[in-house]
Amino acid sequence: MPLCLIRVDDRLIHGQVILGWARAMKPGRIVVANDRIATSTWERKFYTSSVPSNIKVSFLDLDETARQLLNNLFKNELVMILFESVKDVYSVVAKGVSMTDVNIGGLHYRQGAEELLPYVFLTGEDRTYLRELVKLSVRLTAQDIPGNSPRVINPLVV
Amino acid sequence: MVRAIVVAHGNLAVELLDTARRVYGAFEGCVAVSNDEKSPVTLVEELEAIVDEEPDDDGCVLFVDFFGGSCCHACLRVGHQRSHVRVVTGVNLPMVVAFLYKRDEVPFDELPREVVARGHASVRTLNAEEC
Repeated sequence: MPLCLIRVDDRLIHGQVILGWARAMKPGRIVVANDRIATSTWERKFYTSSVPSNIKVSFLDLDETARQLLNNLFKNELVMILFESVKDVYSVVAKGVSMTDVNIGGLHYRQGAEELLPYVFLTGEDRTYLRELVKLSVRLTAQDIPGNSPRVINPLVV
Repeated sequence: MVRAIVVAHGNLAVELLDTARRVYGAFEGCVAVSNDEKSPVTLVEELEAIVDEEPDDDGCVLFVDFFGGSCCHACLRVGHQRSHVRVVTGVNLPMVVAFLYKRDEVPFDELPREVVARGHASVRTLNAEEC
């Protein structure tokens, strides 16, 4: 599957993704990799209705995301994958999926999280999973929208 | 009293309510919330706290800046299992002012539609000859 972007964003599909990244990268499909939304009818409808009709949308749980990536099932499409958390990314990597680049697009303030960038707040758990990804040579690039400068944050999370 | 929460990106919500005060005069029962730097969970909790602090009010309308964004998603989550909450997207100044004038006149179930109609009527292309 040609992957144009693997993004961690606690807001999943929202303005920055549709107006920013999807315009810049023109994916044929957006995959929302999330266990809760895969079984939530109203949220699937909500997110689908906010995506332009020329882009397909899939809602996969994390097991299915890993299975489809490992079996290259979207091989004819340019795909953007969205995860809600670093933990979810790591769970797919732990199932054998290899990743070279992950975009850290938005992890906003939650209780116990500390600010790394205005749109990246990390908890201890986030740091644990980020360190695991760094060990696997994944490049972690913080960038909220395509128009802002990317920043590799690997040295800041180990 | 029917209450309103305006939920928007940046400073838009607070500015909309401040500007509405200049048009309408003083009012109560309206709160501005920004999603700035807040995770979806944090935003939902903040909205739930405001909605639930007066469970016996006559209803609460959640106004959102644009359809499909994270503010909209949070409002739908809050409204999902609360029968006295309605969500209205695409909020603009005429809609806020219409809400303020109509909330005591129109039954709660009809209020969102009336406010949306005012919003629709205020969005148009114009030139001087066609006014």
